[in-house]
Amino acid sequence: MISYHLSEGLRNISRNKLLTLTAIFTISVSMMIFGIFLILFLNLNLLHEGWGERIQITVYLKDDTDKDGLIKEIKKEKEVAEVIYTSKEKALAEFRKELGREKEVLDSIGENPLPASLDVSVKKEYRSSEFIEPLVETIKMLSGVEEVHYGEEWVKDLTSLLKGLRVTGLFLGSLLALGIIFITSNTIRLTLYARQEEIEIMKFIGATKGFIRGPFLVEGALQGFGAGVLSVLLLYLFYSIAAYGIDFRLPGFNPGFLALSALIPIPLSGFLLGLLGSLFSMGRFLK
Amino acid sequence: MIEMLNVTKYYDGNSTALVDVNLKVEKGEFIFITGPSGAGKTTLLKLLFYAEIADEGQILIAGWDLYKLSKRSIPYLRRNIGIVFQDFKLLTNMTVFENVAFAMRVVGTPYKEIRQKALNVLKLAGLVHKADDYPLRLSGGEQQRVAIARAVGNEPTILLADEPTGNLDNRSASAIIEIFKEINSKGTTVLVATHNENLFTSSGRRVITLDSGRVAGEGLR
Ligand SMILES: Nc1ncnc2c1ncn2[C@@H]1O[C@H](COP(=O)(O)OP(=O)(O)OP(=O)(O)O)[C@@H](O)[C@H]1O
Ligand SMILES: [Mg+2]
Repeated sequence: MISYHLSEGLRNISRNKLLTLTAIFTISVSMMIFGIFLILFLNLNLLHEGWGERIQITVYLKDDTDKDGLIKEIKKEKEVAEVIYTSKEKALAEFRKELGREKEVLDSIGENPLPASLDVSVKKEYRSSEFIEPLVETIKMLSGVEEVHYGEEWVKDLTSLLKGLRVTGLFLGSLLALGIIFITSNTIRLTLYARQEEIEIMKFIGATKGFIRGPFLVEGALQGFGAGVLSVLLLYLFYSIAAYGIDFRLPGFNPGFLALSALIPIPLSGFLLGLLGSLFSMGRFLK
Repeated sequence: MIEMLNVTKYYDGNSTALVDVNLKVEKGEFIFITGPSGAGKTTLLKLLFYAEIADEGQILIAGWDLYKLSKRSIPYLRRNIGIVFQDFKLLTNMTVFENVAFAMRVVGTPYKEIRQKALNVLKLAGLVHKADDYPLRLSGGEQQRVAIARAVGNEPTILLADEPTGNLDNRSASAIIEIFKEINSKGTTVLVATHNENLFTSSGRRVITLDSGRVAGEGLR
């Protein structure tokens, strides 16, 4: 009996090649949109981690501060990994190096205008704005601290962007899932209309609902599965093209593709959604 | 075998297709239902295989109250009823043989048996030489016989034939009646709806006459 459903389902597909191909393509495009979203999300996460390593809190000191006392104070905070001191003189020397040819500007000022500073690096597990911000507030309160700088803007932005993307992803994912169900059920409905008479005859001959439904379920599931496979292939193609461009623009950043564990669910969910889609359209049809 | 009690059927509210019809058909009987076009012959047959549902009254088939059966058991009821549709309803994308075999497959006949059984009914209908042709390439009379072959293929308990001699000449028509007699002789209860009086005059069979949805007459002819 299963072989009947299977071969009949395949026959439906080959009888309605154009319709099936259109459906597969449309479904795979919506799956691809979701895939692109996942890849974007994954890479922003990678970026977040990568930049996180470079998160540095720079503490500028008032002149004549007891730096050793201050370093000891800062090191007490659990988030802090390391503190490196830069003296006024060293800061000036580095600044001169950076300025290169234009260093005369500094010479004309005469007195060293640069403050001494501490570079505070943060332990890996605390590298997000929710930990860094309170830490910065604490450090600001310490005596001898003139000013504190850190990459506040983008840390905040990236963290909230990732949070937002997670919500959007959930929303987008469910929307696209509904879309896929809708597309399959519509395609199956068109096939059903084309074969309305055949179905009616089957009913009058004494075919059970399951017998009539089987081939259409196979058709829907295969459609969804095929679309899933196609979308993975398309995703990889687009990813390769995009990654090639990114390599030039962001040297040192290795864009990642979805892992196998994230790829396999795509055709599988296509299979299930296709099955659901055809089940929906059959439900109304077989009344 | 078949019992209709005070059956009334309306279509879409206004048009009344059957009014207060009472009918009893015994097991193994061969009856005709006649009447002018629009009298309700097709509707009566449709009620019997649950293609339409009566608005009032009761229908019993082999003792089963049709309207007390669960929806799930309808297909199994239909497997005991062979139907020759007024418009044949052959599948045009299948050959003659496939049309007959398909009906057998639908009801779960084992693959091994289908071929031989299908050939047997095609022989009965005189269609073996057309087995691999497609229905649309057959004459009206041949299509009619394919429809009959399909209907009798599963050896139904009841055979419902709606205008089975449609536009056929007298000789072809009586050939078809011969097929029905053969089926009937094996125990199948046969109901033939027709407005062709030649089919039943001096047949000695019971004839029910419908007019505007009412039973207008009943008797042996
Ligand atoms: N599906 C339908 N919807 C609405 N009215 C219908 C439908 N089928 C039949 N009727 C009406 O019901 C009445 C009986 O129709 P029915 O088909 O049973 O007649 P009949 O005796 O089979 O006629 P014929 O000899 O022309 O086949 C007619 O008035 C017809 O117009
Ligand atoms: Mg009719």
